[in-house]
Amino acid sequence: MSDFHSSVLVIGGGIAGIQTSLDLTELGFKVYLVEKKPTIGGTMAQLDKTFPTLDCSLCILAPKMVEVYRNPNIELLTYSYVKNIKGSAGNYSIKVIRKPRYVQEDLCKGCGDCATICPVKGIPSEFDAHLSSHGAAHISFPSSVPPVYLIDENKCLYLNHGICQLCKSNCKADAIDFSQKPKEVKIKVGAIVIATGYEQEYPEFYSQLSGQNPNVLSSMQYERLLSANGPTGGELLRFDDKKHPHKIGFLQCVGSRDFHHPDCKKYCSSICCMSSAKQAIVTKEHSPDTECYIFNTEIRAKGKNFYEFIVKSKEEYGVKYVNGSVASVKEDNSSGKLRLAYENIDKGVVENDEFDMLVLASALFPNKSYYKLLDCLDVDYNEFGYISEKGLAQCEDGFIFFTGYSSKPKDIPVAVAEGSACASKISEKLHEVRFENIKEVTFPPEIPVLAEDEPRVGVLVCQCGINIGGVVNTTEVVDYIASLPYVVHAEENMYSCSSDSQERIKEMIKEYNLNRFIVASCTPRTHEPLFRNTIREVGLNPFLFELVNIRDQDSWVHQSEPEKATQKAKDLIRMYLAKVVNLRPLEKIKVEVEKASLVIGGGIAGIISATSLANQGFEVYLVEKNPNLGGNALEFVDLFDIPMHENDILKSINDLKTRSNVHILTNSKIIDINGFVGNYKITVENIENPSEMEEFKVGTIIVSTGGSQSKTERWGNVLGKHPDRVFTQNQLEAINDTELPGFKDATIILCVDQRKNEINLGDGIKTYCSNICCKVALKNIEKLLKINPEAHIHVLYRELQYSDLNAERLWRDLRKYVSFERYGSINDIDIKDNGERFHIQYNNIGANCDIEYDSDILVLATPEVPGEKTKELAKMLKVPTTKDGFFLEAHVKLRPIDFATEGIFLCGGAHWPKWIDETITQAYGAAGRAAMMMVKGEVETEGITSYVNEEKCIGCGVCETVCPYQAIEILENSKKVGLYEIVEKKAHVINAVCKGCGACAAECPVGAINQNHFTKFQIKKQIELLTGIDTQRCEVD
Amino acid sequence: MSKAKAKKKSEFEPEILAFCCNWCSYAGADLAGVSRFQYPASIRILRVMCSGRVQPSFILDAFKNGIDGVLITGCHIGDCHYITGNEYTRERMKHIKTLLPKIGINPDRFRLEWISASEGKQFAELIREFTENIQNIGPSKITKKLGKIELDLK
Ligand code: FES
Repeated sequence: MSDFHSSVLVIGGGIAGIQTSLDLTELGFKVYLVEKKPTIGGTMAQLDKTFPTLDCSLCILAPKMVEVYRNPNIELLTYSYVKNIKGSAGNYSIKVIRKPRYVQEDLCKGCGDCATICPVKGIPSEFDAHLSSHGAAHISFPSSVPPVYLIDENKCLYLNHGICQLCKSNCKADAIDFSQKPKEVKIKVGAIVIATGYEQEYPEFYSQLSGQNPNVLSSMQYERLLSANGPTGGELLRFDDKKHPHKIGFLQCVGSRDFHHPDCKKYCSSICCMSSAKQAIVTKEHSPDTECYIFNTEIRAKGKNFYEFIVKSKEEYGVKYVNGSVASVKEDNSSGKLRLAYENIDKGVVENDEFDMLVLASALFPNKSYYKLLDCLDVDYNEFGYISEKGLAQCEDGFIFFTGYSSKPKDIPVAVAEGSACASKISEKLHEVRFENIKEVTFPPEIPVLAEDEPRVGVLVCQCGINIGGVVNTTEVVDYIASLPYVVHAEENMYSCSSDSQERIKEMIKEYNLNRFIVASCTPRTHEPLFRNTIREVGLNPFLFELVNIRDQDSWVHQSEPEKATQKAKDLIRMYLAKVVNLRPLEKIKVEVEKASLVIGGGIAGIISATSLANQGFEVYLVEKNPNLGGNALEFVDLFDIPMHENDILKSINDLKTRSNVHILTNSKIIDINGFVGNYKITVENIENPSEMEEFKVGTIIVSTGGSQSKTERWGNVLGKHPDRVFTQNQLEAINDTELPGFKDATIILCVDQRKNEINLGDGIKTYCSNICCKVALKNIEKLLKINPEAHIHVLYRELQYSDLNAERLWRDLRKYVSFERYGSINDIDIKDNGERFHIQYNNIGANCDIEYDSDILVLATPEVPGEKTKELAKMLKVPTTKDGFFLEAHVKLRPIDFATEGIFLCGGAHWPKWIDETITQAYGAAGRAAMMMVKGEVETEGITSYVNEEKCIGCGVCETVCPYQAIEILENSKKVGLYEIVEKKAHVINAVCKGCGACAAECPVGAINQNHFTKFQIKKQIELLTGIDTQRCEVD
Repeated sequence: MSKAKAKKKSEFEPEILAFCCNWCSYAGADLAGVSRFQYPASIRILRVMCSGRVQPSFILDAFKNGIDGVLITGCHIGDCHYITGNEYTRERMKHIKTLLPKIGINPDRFRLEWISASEGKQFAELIREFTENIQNIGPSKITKKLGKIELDLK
């Protein structure tokens, strides 16, 4: 057994850190999550919407934050920082400093009574990017995790002047503690993850653009302004005159992509183009008349269906894009407007215009604590200010991993996949000590509660200090509830969530022999698990419980109507009582999971996934249709920006072949997949010898079938004549230097038949951007220059997508030797056959004139497309694909490598064309996600699932179609009716897969499906009891 | 019930049933509370996991019992925690709108709205507006029926 520690330190509680932590606990490791701010959630919590789906950011993030909070294996250290790190791989001693909140975390109820009374005002809110303010006692934002207040020690009157303490006397929970001091916590871990995220300067920093004008905002400030929970409640207003802005300018690349200015970042922040397009769209949705202008150097839309999002912003929303940079901004004092002078590159002129508001998409960069950490780890950073490649490799050797913005600029889905990838890599290193520090809670045996047992309900009504009690007459409510049928006992208390209340609940259950329980207090979204746990601790099934919300949805929203609020509380509890008496104990069934995985596709993604899973101790079946493993990557010999070369790939392949737990099936094709998470039966056929079949069982499946580059019909009769001098980009990469015909002039044409927009129209043109062509072109340029250093190379492009650090560097270099020439529409490029050479004519945008020249060879960046068998495989797996035929993940933002169907994962080019570094990240990530399902050898089903009444079921299959998780199957049973043998169809719920949404129950035409815990009877009873109770009709004794 | 049943339109205090899905709209209602946005005490929220659970008969039941208005709220299209649940809700509820007048119920007594977890303000506004609409339409013509707490013995 190794003597590594089974715990992991995660530094940074943004989305990257959250994802890593959650995955790590599932993989059997304890996590210490250290966050320097008072709450986790990071930047994503501040966002209004996310691109390209315009999802509400908090809606998708908040459940994850709560999950972290409730996870017994994550120790959350917020408002804390890492002071030092000592030790080596597998054995680190960490010193963490917890800053004093002056509020005791375990006592604070998050009620806000301290903030209400705090006399200090006007401290700029960090969460609202300084657009609003709060008092000395405050909370970052309403859904902060942990939901605990804190006192600003620099502004608090008592801490600075020894007077006040009003909050202390107002806090009913006695949580204020002015004696707190910084506390040192020592922890021991085996591995470390750094996820410290990014920062952005406020507009004042760019004084030449902002002056002191309040209507110049940073993009984060604008995000807060748009947000429904922001400083104006989502109303779009100027800050001085409170008027609606009618014309807004978005300035891209402020303070970035500049090698000359010392204050400027040299790199592209990678997400701003998309984020500005999103903000412009949301602005248009708020008020369609507002004009939005985006001033950009070029639009970089790198990600799945990002380019379409940009086109949509133009075409559907009328957002205007100006290609050019802004020279100056002047305030017009009389009109209050901001006057811009800018260069319009497309037109080749300098123009002026006036705006009501400006949004600076200024550079994003790692924060100060990041550099402290790098210092502490003794690794260096590159010219862009990010950890160097050498440093990264050195850290990985020491079990230290970087994710999110801390390794390089990236967007949310990449950060999420990377979080899962870090977890997987750590699991490879520490798998022998898995589960050593994991808390498994044990409970007493469950008291059986049978359907025929008379319900005995206990009710606890919470005053929540004065939060409920100050509005709702809780005593009156208790008296009323106690008089209702089946209620054996009801009482009120100050804080039902406190630990002494949990003891009281247990006492009540024992004393009155209760078999159902209701707490009327705050929201079940955060507190239901706590109470369910409490009743389970005395042996009651956790599903025999309901939480009635009389605070967030009653006392807090009817503060000046105490009588009505009291009546509402009574009504709500009565409604839920009608449900509670009908609750049944539910069980979370454990389903066994085969500890083996099927990896489909033996390209680089498949190789990495298979290796990672094998390293974690799982059985792997790697199926590849070609005779050899390696896929596209083997053809792209030098991968200039990742530390992996052809030989490394070959080495990994050989290494895989020697593993006893890896079964490589080349020349093979999957012909059948049957089953569900944990238990898939796979049938594979040998392509050359179809009679040779293999069957095996796996628990999880990883899809890594990759993609390829398509051919073009364009310029067909010219190019067709000279196939030896025309290449797709991939063909050029793959070809041997010696096989290439001699050339003096070479032309690379980018965006061939892709990125459809208002001028690039035509049936054969794909709407999307393949994302990798611009970078592949750099490698091809290098190759061509190596063969003929004197050659003249033309790159005809539309917009260059070099947001990666290394590509940016290489491009700047190559510009000296190669002419990058910008064109508008692919349809305007004319290629003629000139005998020996191609004659090319196109309209150059910068020069605004037609250019003609001859070229010996042509290299075309045609669209990347999914592998040819994708459709077939999707059908077999019962998973969806996009309109372009790529696999569709469960959620584009937060579940980029999962399918909605549990147990199946996705990585590499089958998901979307991507550069090899991202493919590798996704491959590790997918392996980690698959491992999560397999480590325990079992998965637990949801308690709240659907169930079928077979007698009523007519086997119509409607439920099967509406179920988004493939949790319903239609089984065929043959049955004897008299002389005849008939086949009967019946729906069957696969408990292991059902997520309990209830859509099937609502859709069933004959009422044969019902949802546990939300049965038709229960809901109907709730509805019936809304208007009141007929006491005569339901007498019980 | 101690509630005054005044018949005059302006004083009429409607009783509204609101279905909220757990993930977005219920969270939006919570946020209205956390932000202390005040709205009329007319609604009673019934939590379901997804708006996709709400079947048409629930709405008819509510009206049959004399409830003055019914509101369904779910995540915005595309945001449903269960991927497509709310799309089915939308389809189902189209039919309800056309069905209601046929059985003598003003279709404006029923509404389907999307509320995200960050739209506390919008939630409060929606309740305010819907309550006002119902007040203008007046109390339900169906006499209120009181419910009975009983056990599902099947
Ligand atoms: S979860 Fe909100 S509508 Fe489905």
